[in-house]
Amino acid sequence: MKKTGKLIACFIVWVFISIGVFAKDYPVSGFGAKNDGRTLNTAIVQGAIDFITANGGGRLVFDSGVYIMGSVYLKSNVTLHLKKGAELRSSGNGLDFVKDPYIGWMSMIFALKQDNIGITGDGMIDGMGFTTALCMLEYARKGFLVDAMSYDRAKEDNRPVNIYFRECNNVTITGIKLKDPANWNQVYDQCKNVYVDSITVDCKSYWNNDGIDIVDCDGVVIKNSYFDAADDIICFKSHDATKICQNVVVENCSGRSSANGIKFGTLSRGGFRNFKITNVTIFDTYRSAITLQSVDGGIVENILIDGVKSYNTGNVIFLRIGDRYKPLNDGKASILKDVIIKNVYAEVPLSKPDSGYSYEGPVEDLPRNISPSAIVGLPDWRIENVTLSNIEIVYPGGGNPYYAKRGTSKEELESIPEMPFAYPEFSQFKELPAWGFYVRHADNITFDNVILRAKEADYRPAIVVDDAKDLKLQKMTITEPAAKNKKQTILNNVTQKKK
Amino acid sequence: MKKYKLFVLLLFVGLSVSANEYNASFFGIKSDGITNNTGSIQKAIDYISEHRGGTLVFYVGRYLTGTIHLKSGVKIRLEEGAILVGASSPYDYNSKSATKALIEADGQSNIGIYGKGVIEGSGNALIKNTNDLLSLGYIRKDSEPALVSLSNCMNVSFTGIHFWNGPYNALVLNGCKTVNLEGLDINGKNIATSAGIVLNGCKWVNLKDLFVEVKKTPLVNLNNQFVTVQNSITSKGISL
Repeated sequence: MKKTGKLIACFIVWVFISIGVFAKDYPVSGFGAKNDGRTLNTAIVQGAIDFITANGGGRLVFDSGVYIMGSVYLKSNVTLHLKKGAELRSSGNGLDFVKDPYIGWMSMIFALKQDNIGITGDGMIDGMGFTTALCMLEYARKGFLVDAMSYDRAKEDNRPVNIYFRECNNVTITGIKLKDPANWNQVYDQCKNVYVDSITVDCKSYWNNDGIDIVDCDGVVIKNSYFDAADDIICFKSHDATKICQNVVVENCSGRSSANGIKFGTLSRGGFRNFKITNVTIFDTYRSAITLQSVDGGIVENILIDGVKSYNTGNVIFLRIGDRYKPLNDGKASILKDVIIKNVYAEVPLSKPDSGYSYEGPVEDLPRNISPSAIVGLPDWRIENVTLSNIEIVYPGGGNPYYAKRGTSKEELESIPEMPFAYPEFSQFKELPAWGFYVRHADNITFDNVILRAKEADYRPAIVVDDAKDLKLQKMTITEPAAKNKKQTILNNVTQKKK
Repeated sequence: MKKYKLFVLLLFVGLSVSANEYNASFFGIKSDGITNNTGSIQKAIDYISEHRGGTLVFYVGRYLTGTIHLKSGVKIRLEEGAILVGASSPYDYNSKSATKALIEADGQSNIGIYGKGVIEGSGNALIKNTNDLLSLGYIRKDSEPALVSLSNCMNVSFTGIHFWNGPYNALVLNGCKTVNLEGLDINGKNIATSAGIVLNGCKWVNLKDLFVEVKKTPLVNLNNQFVTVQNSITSKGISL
């Protein structure tokens, strides 16, 4: 962990130095770009970028106004600087966007194998996602765009993101507002040294509107940023089994989502290591505040999450090992180990937490009562070395056995499906037998000063642990109305460490 | 020549079987939860009914609507995660029926809604907005809208659907014949005036695997013939 900190500090200094080096400014109007909200500026902006990169680099500066855009490629030593009131707005026509043959996706701003690039300022990028996505669906229906239209939508590679940088070094994204793409919002894929500071994300325009996606990057800082997203807020992915997403710091970020808050996965082929996530606030979020998933034969290790406030969020912690890609991975094990989660305060509501937001999360996996936090491995691939300390979670309780029931007998616990190939979500098992925490196939798990409160009586116990070695439960506090003699901890096939 | 005609005939039969499923977006129905889709959904139902019937399919998303009328031969499938959301203004419940509802049908046959999706009544918002308009004198007291109201229909089937937050009754069936209600989850626990199923003057009704959690009466069974109830309970585990 210390090593990560040093690396990041060096990197920050480096970024400031490099910004100073190529500070020459070029107003985009000088190249003929129009801020009238009607002129398609794609070719002009591309011409400006090409000129600046060929002439020693600098900033391409956008004064206030609306610049209609299709796809452009950012080049080495060029920063797009969006002044307050400047907006890069998608034309809304999918045909103005390129599907990059190397990346395989569409984007408004691409960068491929470029160094020292950035997007800065107080301006905005608006992907006009709803319009663009429906436009592409219409094209697919007319037949000149190839798309199976599954789920009654155009598929992801036919819907542009706002930013897609691939294999770039030294990326700076600061200050800007990123709004409404037709797909994910901003993707940094196999980049080195990515610095994201003080950005605002508002994307609830269509399916898959993630806040930020970091894919197989090395050296990432995300801080002081705010996210309001229909899909996952801050999402780390690993697309390539030979790569890994590593050395990442997230601090002072807050946001809400109709999916998850901080998410590792779903695609987790290489893995994730050396993460330090501190001081995050998650609210009005449909799924989990924190979810770490190793479901594709990757390795997830050395993760510190310290300081989480989670209000009105459907689930708090969900750790999961799965086995979705067995044929691809030659049976390579998914690994999830060495995780510390501490200083968490969370409130889980009875009602739908993202109610009223555009593109609410889908109601699914019914019937089930309020789901507990969960750490769920597989019988042979076990989650290892997880410490949960100083954690308080307030649940609504109220689980009704007539609506959905999962008992705690040995037979009932062992009949809960393993679901190794399923898409991982906290709700995937439908009804679980605990209202507070459910642990299965996990070794050396430590609960230290964990407080679980149910506001109303629940038919389930607070904690169920099934198949665990070296479990440690210390300083546990459990409160539930009218549950004086109720057995709140059910252990099946568990060995405990001495306290 | 005869063979050719037979082939063409077979082709049409084949088409009519395979071409009767329509995605909601084909009719411009939007999944954003904000667009009021009443006109588009009604057009879809009318179109499908006029073209030999079929199924209107809603994939995951929230589909806001006011009153829609089911027509003969049209089924609606709500895939898991699809929610038909009732509008929260009483003006959107534009109906001349004795029992107003979000989903209505009168004298139609072979109709139904099935799948794992939700019909969301927006009950509390609708009740509040109605009371506000009543107190301003802008509207008169009218019948209490149900989620579904069917009169004089035949071959009716609702299976698997969640009926949530209906302001009053969930399903009202008057004078319907051959009705199958199976695997429904009716939940109005957050609505003080929520009620369940009303059957009046119906014949051959099958109720199976229902879960009803409402504040008022879960089942009213009046003047019906041949009603069977299997494995159906309230939230307290009491049989219907």
